[in-house]
Amino acid sequence: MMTAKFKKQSLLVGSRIRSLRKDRDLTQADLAARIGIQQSDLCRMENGEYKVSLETLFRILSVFEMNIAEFFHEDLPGALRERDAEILRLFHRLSPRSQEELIDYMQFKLQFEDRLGNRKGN
Amino acid sequence: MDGDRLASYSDLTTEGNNLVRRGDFRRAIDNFERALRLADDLQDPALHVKALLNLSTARLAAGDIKEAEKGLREILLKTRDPQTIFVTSSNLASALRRQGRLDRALLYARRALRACEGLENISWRATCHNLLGNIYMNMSYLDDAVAEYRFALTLGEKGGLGTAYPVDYIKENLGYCLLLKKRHRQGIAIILEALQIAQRNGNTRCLAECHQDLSFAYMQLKDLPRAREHGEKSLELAIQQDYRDIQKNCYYLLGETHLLMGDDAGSDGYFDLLQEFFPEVPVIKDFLRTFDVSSIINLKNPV
Repeated sequence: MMTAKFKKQSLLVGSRIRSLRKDRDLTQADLAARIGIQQSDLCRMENGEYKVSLETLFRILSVFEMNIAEFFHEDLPGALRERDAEILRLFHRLSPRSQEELIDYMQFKLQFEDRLGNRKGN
Repeated sequence: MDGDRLASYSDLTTEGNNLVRRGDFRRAIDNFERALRLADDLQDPALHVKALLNLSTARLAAGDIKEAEKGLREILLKTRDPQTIFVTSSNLASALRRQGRLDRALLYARRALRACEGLENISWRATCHNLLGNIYMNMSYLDDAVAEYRFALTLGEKGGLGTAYPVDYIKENLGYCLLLKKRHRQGIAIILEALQIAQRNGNTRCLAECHQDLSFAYMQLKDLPRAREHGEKSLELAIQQDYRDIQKNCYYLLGETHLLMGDDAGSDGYFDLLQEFFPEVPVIKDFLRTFDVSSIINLKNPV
């Protein structure tokens, strides 16, 4: 369960890097050269299989010359950004066990709302 | 006269090697520089090469990568001595690894392994497999890295190395690799063993790395008081000995730990210190305050 969650987070960052790279018409070779890593490693980073150093992570931010909201939140509706970030912050302060309980509770609430037919977006 | 110089050279080299093993790299560099001058005074080419390689090893450990790399390729081209090939290839592999040139690093590490296979020196072979493990870990090939570390430890056991250098480093690397594989409890147990060995060996660098790893492990497990305790111990050693890579990692770990504890001011303080290392990226604090990057980073990746 934990592994799946961590994998998802790695994939999120990797897929974001891929989409930003394509938006800027950069090839993997171009970006890899600018970050100072090998192309094969960038490919694996985009697939969430490669762990990076703090230096590389910060260099990527620098190469894309953007702020954090742009880097990760581009696809989210503006009104929700602050609250989503706060929820994430609070979630990560919980113990792994509490995180699991919270996920279970949210899934229970979703099922309950599905049954009532008043789920968001329905 | 030459006998006195040779004796001085030998003393400086022995003490320099001990300083490297204890993690006191700056003083080791000083010793090896003096040994190199003596070797040049003696006009002994073989001694010159040995002194240069010792100096290169200490500079690598201290993080002076470009300086450490100077002259190594020339030595490798000229020599046929297996011991020299082993040390030179091993140092080149380490230098390339620290620059992120991992494929090239792997080639030289394998060359070092081939050279030392005929030398019957268990410690060197163990060091080679540890180096291969480090390269695989930097490549995020964690299963391969674990296999190399375990093989290095098996060699150490068979060769009667006991808890001598570099067993402390190998165990610490294995433990950290298991943390990256999310096998936290197993990883912590092995790192605690490494910590005890490093304490007995007086290996300050390895001690600082063990505390750093434990801070990372406990942070991921949300055992935050322990994460802070180990982070602070690691940072103290890193500042004392000028281990700048560990300082950066500790500023991140302590910033993140304080954030998770709800201590925003404490967190800001550490992230500000981390920011000073990266003036060209002014958004680091915001970034780390917003996102948990602990599962996508490798603290031991040099670039």
